[in-house]
Amino acid sequence: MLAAQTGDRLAYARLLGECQKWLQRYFARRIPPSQIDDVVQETLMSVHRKRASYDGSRAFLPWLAAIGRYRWIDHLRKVYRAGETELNEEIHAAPQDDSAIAALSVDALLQQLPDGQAEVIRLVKISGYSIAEAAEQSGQSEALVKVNIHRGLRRMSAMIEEV
Amino acid sequence: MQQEGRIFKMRHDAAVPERSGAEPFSIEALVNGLSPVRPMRLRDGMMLSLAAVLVAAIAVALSMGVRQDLAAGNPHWMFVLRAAVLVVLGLAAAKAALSAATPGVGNSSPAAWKWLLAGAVLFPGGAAYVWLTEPVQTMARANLLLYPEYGLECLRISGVCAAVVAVVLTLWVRRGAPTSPNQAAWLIGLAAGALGAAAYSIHCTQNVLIYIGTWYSLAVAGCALAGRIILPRFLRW
Repeated sequence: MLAAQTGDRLAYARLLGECQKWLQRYFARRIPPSQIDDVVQETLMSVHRKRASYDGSRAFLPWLAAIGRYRWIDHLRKVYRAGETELNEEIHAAPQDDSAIAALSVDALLQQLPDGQAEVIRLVKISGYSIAEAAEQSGQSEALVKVNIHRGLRRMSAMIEEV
Repeated sequence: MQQEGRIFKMRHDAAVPERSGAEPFSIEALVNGLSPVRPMRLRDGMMLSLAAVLVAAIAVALSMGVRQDLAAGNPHWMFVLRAAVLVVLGLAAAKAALSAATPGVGNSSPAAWKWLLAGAVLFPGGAAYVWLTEPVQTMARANLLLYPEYGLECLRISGVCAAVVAVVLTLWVRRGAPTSPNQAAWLIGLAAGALGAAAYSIHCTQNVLIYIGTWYSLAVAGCALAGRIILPRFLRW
């Protein structure tokens, strides 16, 4: 990367190739296989845009990992905000990564939320009820439903960050 | 997935929002687009921050004047203590904010600012102590002690000076890759507030603890909060 910062294209091409391989292994444990390519590409573009932020006096891999982790969290937020009507109960990953599946299971995450938040997230985001319908079923006001959804999703994002 | 160097196929996935207008990705394109960049160095960021504070302080001195004891070369001990705490706190927070621009898993961000903030709390803590132990007398003399018109000027001018520092810090951190924009925003606000208040303090003639503990604390806390509210959107990438 130090050479790349000076404009050495040959070194940069080799570096990006190695980064691509490392990122594919990194994301294979964290997101579904169908999404890995896109996130790897987004991360490599970030590596390119932010290459000036690499401090040559420190190791390269922690820097790459930090950027990869940021893009991973950003990807997860986009997925939640995409307004999917269905959230898969389990995120598919390599069969041997049972701990990753368990950790990332939406159901496992919801169980760690307060009951009020988990309930409205299940109703609105998973079962597809409207805010008004969820308010009626849960006994919460519509304003409280919105607040609980927002707080619950933020907490889930934070829990994912700790994985 | 194609081999490296060739064009990747963009896969459609309903779970992933598509990049509108995105051209096919290729490592070759990134390599061809490579240009030399100047690596970000912490000391460069610190120098820029100091320059911003100096500019703000000079502007205060030229437009509002310098307090007499400082101009005479014999500053009151309270001024020295106040300015030292603000400058050291501001620089420590600035260092932590600037460090956020060069991320690394496992790298711990500088934590000196937390200890210095704890020390700086002595000022509002002292003011609170005066209020609590002598409430009646303090209330009776509130106008005299707090000088509301000067206090509001303190907030206003400190805020303007802080904005100058905040712009410099934000532009620097934006160039980097802050992986926690919210935390970086807090630190920028805290640094800008402390350094902005330090710049204003060369004009401020008040030496009373309750005044300093109230108005300067409000200025620093207000800037930290403003930073947290306003800046994250500018720091995300």
